[in-house]
Amino acid sequence: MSDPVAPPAPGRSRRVSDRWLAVGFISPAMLLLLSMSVFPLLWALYLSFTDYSATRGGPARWIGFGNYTAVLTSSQVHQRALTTLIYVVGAVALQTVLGFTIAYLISRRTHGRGLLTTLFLVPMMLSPVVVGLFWRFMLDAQFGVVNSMLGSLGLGQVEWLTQRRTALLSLVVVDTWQWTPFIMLIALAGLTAVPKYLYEAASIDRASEWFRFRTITLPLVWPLLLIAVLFRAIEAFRLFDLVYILTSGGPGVSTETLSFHVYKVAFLGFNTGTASAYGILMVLVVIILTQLYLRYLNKLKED
Amino acid sequence: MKLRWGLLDAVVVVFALLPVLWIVSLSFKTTATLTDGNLIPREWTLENYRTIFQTDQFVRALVNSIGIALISTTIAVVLGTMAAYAVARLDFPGKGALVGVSLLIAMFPQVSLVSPLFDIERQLGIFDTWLGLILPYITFSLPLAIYTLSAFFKQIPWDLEKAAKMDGATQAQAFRKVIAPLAAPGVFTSAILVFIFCWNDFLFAISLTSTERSRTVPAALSFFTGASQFEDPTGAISAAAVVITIPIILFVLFFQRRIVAGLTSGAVKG
Repeated sequence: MSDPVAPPAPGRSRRVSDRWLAVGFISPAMLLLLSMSVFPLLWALYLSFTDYSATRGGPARWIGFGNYTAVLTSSQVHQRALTTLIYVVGAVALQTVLGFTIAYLISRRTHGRGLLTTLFLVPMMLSPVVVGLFWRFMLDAQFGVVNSMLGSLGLGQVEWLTQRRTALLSLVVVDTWQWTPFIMLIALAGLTAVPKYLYEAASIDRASEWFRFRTITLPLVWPLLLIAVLFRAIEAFRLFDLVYILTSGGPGVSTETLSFHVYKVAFLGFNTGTASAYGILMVLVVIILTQLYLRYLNKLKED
Repeated sequence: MKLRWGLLDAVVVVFALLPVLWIVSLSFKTTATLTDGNLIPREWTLENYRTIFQTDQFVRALVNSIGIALISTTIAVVLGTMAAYAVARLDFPGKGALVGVSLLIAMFPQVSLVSPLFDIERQLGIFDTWLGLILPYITFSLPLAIYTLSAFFKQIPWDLEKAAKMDGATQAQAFRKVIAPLAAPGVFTSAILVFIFCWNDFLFAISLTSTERSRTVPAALSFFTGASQFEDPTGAISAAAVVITIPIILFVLFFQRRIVAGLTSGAVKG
């Protein structure tokens, strides 16, 4: 390669053209990502330091960290944070246990897996709006099928969506219905990847089923499952549509999540500045959670 | 043992399908029997479907939904394919940044961006237009497209391209006859996932539109009140929900394997 008369090394010229090709290939996508999400984010960051309102018009006045202290010290926000926490922990825990159990049972059979997976895919592919409507009608106190089933079992009627506790519980149940399949799919992928010979060796050693589960299955599937759990937790934290359709945050504000509250501040109060600060804080929470997720994902890849 | 599996199947089927069946049943019930709580309608009627297809509100929203989702999907898949090819096959500075930014955007609480987007779109004059929804849809589905596609592209045996060229194929032939058929399933899978994302979106649809001009079905559904103000809209809403669920069910039935592959690669392989 050091010979000055030699034609340019093929590897090198290829890399240069690679670079131009790459620039041409990624720039349209990059341009959109920057202009429709990074720019709005920076715009929100700017607005979050002002008292701007999108409908009132007028110039934005710089008020420093005013919006941030207002959001962080607001007892309303604290209450929504607690609601969101209960919802995220409840829903994700429930769907993890259910999803893993179903995946474990399905992984142990040989026939009819495909059909079950197909059926299971339906809930998670549906629009949250449609899911919300489904369940609003199912849980309706007068004509809902849930109450009519409870009635025929001789149990009482429950006003699912109009009482504080049961409304939040309903939200957890509906989210679990929609997303248990996701956990199930990921867990199933993990379970089928466990080498068979491990189980064979264990059964030769006459290990009990529980012992095999605890020492082989769980340790091997757990990392993958944790990824799914983190992924779901981030998604649940952002939940908006289901709340809007199922309960609209009610009764009172008992099912208002942080996302729903931000939306209300932005589009009902039109306090754009405050809503921006609120939104930026939520982005920070998600960035922290994503960092956890990524760190874990990379660790998993290295192993 | 057989019995136990049968029981498991039954539980899973009821779990997954009962809500779907319930709304299908509601959509076929007459107004009189709507509230009887029966899973199987006592009187069947197509009245609810007739009602929604005669309401401008719904038909317009359906046209908007189909148009916006198809345009967004096409553009997002083309841009996503190009970017994913670059990520999977080419070496360039800033690759890490692209992957990082798109992952972050995939995880973003979109509700934080809705308020600035509302403001920006109003100043640009694209608020409440098709373009005003198509742009965010492309943007927010690009990460998904780039992830699933680059995962697929990494699995393609690219040496085949070289082999074809050695056998005398031109670059174009090698691409058309060897690489394109291998890449097509991946592109198709990401198209399905992107389409479903755009079709199902509610947050952007409700905050970046204000009239029937560009409102999509999920947003219209939340405003839907039935043929007249005094009629119980439950039957009509159920029918509308069934109509927009049909494409999703068809996708799931026909492309189950692809969707599973796409979802697991998107979430786990990264």
